[in-house]
Amino acid sequence: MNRKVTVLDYLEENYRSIAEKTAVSDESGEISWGELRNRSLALSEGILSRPDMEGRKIPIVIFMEKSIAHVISIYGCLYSGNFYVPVDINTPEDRLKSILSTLKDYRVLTDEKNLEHLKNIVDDKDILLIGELLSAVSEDSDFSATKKRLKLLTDFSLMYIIFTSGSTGTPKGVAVRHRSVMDYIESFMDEIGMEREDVCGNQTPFYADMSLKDLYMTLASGAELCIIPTRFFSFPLKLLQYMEEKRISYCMWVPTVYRIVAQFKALSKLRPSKLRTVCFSGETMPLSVFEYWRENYPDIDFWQLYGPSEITGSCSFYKVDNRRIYEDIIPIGKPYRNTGMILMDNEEIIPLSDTNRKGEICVYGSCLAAGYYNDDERTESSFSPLPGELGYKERMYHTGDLAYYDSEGNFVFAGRADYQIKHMGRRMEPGEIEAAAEALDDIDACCLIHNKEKDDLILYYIGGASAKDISNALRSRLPSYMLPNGYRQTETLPLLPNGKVNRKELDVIENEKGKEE
Amino acid sequence: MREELIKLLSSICPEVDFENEKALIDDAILDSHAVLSILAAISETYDVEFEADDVMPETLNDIDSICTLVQTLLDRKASSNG
Repeated sequence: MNRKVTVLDYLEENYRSIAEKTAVSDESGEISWGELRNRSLALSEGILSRPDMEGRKIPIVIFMEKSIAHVISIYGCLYSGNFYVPVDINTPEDRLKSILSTLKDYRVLTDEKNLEHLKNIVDDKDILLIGELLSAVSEDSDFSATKKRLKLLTDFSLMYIIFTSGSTGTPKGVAVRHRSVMDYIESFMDEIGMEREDVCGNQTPFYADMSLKDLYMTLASGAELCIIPTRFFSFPLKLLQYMEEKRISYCMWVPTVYRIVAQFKALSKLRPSKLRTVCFSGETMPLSVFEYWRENYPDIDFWQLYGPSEITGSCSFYKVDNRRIYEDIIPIGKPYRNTGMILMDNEEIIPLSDTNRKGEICVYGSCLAAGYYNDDERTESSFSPLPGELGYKERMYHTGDLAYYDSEGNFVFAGRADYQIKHMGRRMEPGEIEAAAEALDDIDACCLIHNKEKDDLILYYIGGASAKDISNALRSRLPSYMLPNGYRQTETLPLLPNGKVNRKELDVIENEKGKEE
Repeated sequence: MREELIKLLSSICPEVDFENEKALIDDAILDSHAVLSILAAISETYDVEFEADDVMPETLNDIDSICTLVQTLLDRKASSNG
């Protein structure tokens, strides 16, 4: 019986075939697939032994650092038939309260170290301690409670909820089913692939959707998930040393991290020798950063992936052509099989032949999230009926991202619909101006902010270029009304926990500045 | 230079006790963004450039190490100019 119903079936398969092989490693040690499966089952038995957990499926918040214990917590929650909610331990108190109030009925799984944080926020009776639960289960347990619960699980059961920032300030809980993650696994394995011998160097935090690749592609392939200590991402050489030591062959980081390595030219000091696959997603990859990596690794595979949390991981992929010179931007490519991805210009579907015409990316298929947890209103507004010619009673997710088709039928990212700026009476996308600037050699990263007070466009940028150079170069790429009025060279841009540029923070900085001057 | 550096770093991370903390990196008192902001400020104030091996946890772990690092960078600049 090879049929897989939930992601747990992949873990059972690894338990049967590669029990001794390393599954996950972190700074403190490693755990094999067999141990991971058994510890997770024990945790599940511990959870189900609590009288208050009988006969229900509820969200379990995982509140601990990224670690082997965190991975056990994930699979323990799943074995117990519940769904997990990974949360950043540095979440501000108000935001954490807002998340918990959205979940309504929940438990919080944590460790001794993080217990203190939760005082005054979570009721004692709602806290599960991983150490206590694991020690409560005897060595020779037959896991009968778990086995009974598993019979009630289907691929349609919720698997996790990941909270993303909402534009209104209240976080939205993207609720995702087992099926969607399994669909992502199948898509990724078909097109990009990962081998059992690979060691995947994890950067993205587990509370961000981008980490699905790391967690579940290693699960599906039997590769090793190597959790890189977060602090190394400020120290490029340290990061590269760790990669070499751990024989990391596979990286799926946000562009910001690749940029830090490029900024300090760290690969000329140490070039990790096992690396064979590099994926990037989450934001646009600056071409100068990409070129730096390609120069150092001319023969490995580079992939650009694209997709918001609501479509589970990524919905499109693009293999970078190692011989091609990219003029301005690397396309986000084409959708996976079993994923529908279209461009909508208001109510109209843009045909593939209509190249360079911008529309909103809309996605449909098994990859779609179940919706925003306990928030029908925002679910309805983002997940709408698929146009009649494409399906009957199907739903489609509006990404709010703009793109156009190139001549090869690839989607090319063209900014966010909701960052639209109205400047000198014309509507424009900061993403478009940023892409033009990032195409210049001496710009590593940038962010365009609209100074509303003065109606000025201000380009914050990292890189050696002078304002005059950029301005001259942009003149040939952009209509004059889209040219920035000011340039601010900076060594860093404020970042969100997931590594993307914190546009809001920069916006506040710039608009405060505008008032002072 | 020590006092000057403490003043500069405190302007970036006002909540951190640079005078007394001995494990700014090891105890995760400075996160990634703080580290990069500090490097940026040092680079600008002293007109120095960092290479990959200057940016290590042990060179930024406490104020004395940071002083040594800045001095090294200044010496390197002086010798390359001279």
